Amino acid sequence: MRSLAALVLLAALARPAAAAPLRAEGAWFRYLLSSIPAGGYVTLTNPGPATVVLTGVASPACGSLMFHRTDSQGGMERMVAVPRIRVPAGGRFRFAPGGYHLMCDAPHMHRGQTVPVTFRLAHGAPLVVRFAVRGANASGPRASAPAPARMKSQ
Amino acid sequence: MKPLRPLLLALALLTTAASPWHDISVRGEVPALGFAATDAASGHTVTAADFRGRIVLLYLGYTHCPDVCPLTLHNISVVLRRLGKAAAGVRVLFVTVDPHRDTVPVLRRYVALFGPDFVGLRPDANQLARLARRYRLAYAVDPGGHGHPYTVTHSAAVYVFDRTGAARLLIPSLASTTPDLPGVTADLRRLLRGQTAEGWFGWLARWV
Amino acid sequence: MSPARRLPPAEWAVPAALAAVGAALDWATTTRPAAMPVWLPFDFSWFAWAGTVLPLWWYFRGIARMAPARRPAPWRRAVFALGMGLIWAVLQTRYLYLAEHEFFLSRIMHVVLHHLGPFLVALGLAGQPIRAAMPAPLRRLVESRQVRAALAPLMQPFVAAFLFVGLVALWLWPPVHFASMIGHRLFWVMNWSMVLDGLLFWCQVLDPRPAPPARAGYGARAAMAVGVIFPQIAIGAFIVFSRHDLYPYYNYCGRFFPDISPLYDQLVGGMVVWIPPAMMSIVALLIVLSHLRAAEDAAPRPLDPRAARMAALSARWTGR
Repeated sequence: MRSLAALVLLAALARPAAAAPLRAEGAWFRYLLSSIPAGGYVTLTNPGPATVVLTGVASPACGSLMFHRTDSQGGMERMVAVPRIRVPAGGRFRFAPGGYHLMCDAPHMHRGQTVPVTFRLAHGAPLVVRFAVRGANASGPRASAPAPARMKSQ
Repeated sequence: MKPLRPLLLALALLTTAASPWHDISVRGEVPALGFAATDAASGHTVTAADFRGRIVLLYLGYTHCPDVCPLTLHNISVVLRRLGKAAAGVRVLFVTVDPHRDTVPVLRRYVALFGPDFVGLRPDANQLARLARRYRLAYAVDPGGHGHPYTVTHSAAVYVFDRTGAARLLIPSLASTTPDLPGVTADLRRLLRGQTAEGWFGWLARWV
Repeated sequence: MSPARRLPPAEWAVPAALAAVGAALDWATTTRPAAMPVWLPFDFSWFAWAGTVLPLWWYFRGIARMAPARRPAPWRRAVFALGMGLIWAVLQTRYLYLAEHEFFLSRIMHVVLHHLGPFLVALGLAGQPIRAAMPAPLRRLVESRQVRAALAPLMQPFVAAFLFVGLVALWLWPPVHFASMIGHRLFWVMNWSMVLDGLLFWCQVLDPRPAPPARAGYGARAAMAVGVIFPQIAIGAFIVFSRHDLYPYYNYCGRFFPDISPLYDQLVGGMVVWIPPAMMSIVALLIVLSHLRAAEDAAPRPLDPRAARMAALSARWTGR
């Protein structure tokens, strides 16, 4: 995953105008069924001196892709669309289960694949990140670590 | 107000310390397992009687929920794996609050992703209203339109029933990246061993 | 019963009609809960149904049998019906669902069950007409020495005020609140204990009659109305200024308004415990004072020295 992120970084660096403002790690989708939206998760790190604002997101693997947040204050679970995301200077922003996530409507992907996701920034060139596609019982981008017996139940 | 706080805290501690459970005991307060709904696997109506003899986890959700419902079900599946063979005595009832979009085939394929112990239930509107009323659960489906998205809200709680169908525990939320999975596992193991004794003191502490 | 003493049709036709309507509502809420309009029962209770429609029926029937001069004024009949209607509404309509899922709405429910509803019912002076029209065995029961002996200590002014505030505190004590909200039986006990205690309290405070035949003098009743203000303010303030979530039940089962944060819900709920009951007490005080003035005007001289002092004091507000 790290090499993948480095690759993305390199690709972004290769663009003439912009230095890559963000680093992406641990990018993955929880893909369930093609008729059901898939949740996307990633950690974005901003090593630069200025806040980076994400204004949108898109992927050829999704009918539509949006920033979303699960709101469970008060004991009710619901989703709220988020128009933009701010990654603070020198800080990071986590899209993680149970909180902020990317909602991929009408996903066309399959488990084991990686799919590109493009983040639009308020300033500078878009950032392309490759997301690993995982299944229902995954809890991270890698197949091995947290959910060893998952294949049995899928 | 100040002097009341330690008293309140002491009482709260008394009531929690007396409980052997990691989750919240609702024994004797919440009605026994009771519902009717269409089982996604068979397409037939099932009732609470079909789950007698098993520990039952009851959770409301909907399949078009990309984040928190799969996270909850995933966390439950981790607990079941921790239980090992004993998990065969557990059934997880995933009741959709969005029967309009969650048809039987969708629901069947959805719960199958999480494991063989997961049961998808599709109640009709009246069955759902009765179930929610019985367990004080809340849900709302707004089909949207006019630029508004289709939104669904539902209670986060998971209820646990014992082999006799009696309500035993309430797990506030498994929709967290840091849920108390060892605690939930220990509680289910305790129920699977059939330890029904709550302890006189625990009973007393809840009722004083 | 001999045929000569057969009941007139109204005696059985009205209760039979009420029972039939109750049965229809019971059937509908059991089998068709999703189709019920918001103003019909959310969770039908025969106890709530009988406890609302029978007293209403007896009250108006009793009034019809009374001499016109002794009947409660029309406004009293209206507020009695309104009070009964409000109690039934919060206990039975879809409002019940809201109250189960938002702390401040459950507090409004209790203000209606314990304060506003019984207060309005008490203003209806319902004792005499209801007793006149209720079935004889039931009347013999409520008028029996045992029932009176059981109620007498609860109506001692200090005990009544203590009970009134004590119930508010008991059901708001966090572990008890959790158990009574999540459980059906305790929920029922909680709500009806509030209604019955509210009736016991306000019927005594708002009784227009002087000390005999009433149990306590006007001064004691004014003190009851005012005395309960301060502990309720203390409880309300404790909730309002609490920095942590005292009532996690609503987090477990979900709030009706997901946009309202738990602490804000709690703050508004604390305000509801704090402010409306205090306002009701002030209204009750003014009513007690006006009753005192009226009794004084009717009597040739002050009924007792304490009452006279109260009357002198009350003149400042009432201007009489």
